[in-house]
Amino acid sequence: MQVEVKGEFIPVALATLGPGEQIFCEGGLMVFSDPTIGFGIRWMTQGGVLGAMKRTLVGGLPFQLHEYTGPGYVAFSRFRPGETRVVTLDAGKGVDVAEHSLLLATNGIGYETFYVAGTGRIGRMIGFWMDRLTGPGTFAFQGHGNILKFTLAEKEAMDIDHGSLLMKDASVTVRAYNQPLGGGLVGHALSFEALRVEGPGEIYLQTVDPTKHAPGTPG
Amino acid sequence: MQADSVGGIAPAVLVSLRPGEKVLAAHGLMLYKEHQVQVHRRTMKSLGVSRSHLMGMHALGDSEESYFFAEFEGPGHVSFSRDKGGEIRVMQLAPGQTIRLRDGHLICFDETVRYFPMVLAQYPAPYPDANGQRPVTYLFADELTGPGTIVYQSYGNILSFDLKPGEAMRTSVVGLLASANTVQLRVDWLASPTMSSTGSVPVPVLDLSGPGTVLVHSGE
Repeated sequence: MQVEVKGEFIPVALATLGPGEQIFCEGGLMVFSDPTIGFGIRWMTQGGVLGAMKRTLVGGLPFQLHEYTGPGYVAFSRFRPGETRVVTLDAGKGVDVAEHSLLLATNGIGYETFYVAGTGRIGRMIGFWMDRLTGPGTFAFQGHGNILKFTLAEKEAMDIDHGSLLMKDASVTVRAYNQPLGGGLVGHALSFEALRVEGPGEIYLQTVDPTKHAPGTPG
Repeated sequence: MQADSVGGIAPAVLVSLRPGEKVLAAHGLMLYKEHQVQVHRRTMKSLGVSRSHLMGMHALGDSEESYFFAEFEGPGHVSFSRDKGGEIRVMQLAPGQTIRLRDGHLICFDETVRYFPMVLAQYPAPYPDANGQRPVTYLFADELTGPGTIVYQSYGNILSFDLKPGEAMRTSVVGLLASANTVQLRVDWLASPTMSSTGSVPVPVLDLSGPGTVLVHSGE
């Protein structure tokens, strides 16, 4: 299988599949395809019925994934401005991709979702979901805006805006915290929600917070 | 401080701070920071902007001016993003050099830069509304005086003009991004307001005359 990124502003990930080769993605991402491409559905069974209800009703994640089977070509897009990257995972290697950022993954990749809890304070931050992908295989993802990549050493920490986390190695820990804006009661009252990530591993940030803009708007 | 623009679709600015060096930014623009960078609150009052002035600005309309800035203290890196497309420019202001930047475009600035929010221009609606009033539109700006570094972002691309003394140019109301304080600005209309009965719709424009720099942006 081969995956290429076509376009720059609102790119597509174009996958060329050999006979029997299969990829999966969220529904609604396919832009165009070869008529020879087969289509199927993969049900999300992680966590049973209650787990699926939690993901869908609380997290807004789909009940099912779409599967495309070669031979032929098929292209996917998130229909918004932003960089697209293609990554190949070694066997056993795990990465976490922010919700609604995965474009496609080959069928050999393990797929689960998990919830990153928020601080619980009143406001927008109640937490968010991430996709846990485990190799071997290839996947593509798209950020909002540009993508910035960092490599964190063991115990090295970085504080990031809630909406900027796009992807990270599974070895990188993430937790939400309140960043006070100065001291005293006023500083705490004006605090803003952020994420503290800690290495070792790589993280990818996106320059646009998806919670601040509707999909498809460059800002 | 050292500031660099990164990315092209929705760029961010990466600021490198030496120990004790500070940069001020509007609340909510931080993209990421290194763990050791300290975050403080910097009130407008501490910058010499009185509360009564700010309240007056807010009373006029949709002023985005906040009552405080977030202050980041080095050493370390901190990055900001306005979560939108458009060019990011880093400008070094000489001592005493002043630029008036339309509100909503400033990303961050050195603590050595003097900041003052102001009304850049105002104009009444060409026709009375249903109540017989002609509501006034105010154009707000951040007046920034050097020395120091400022970082701002446009909508779309930025076009720069250096006007000679007496040289004039015209921009749309939304097209003007910034101008030097030496540039004279006047609101004009492309059609007379008295022509409303004939169906003509007057369009407000900004007439600028030099000397000084004018920055125009191509987006809205």
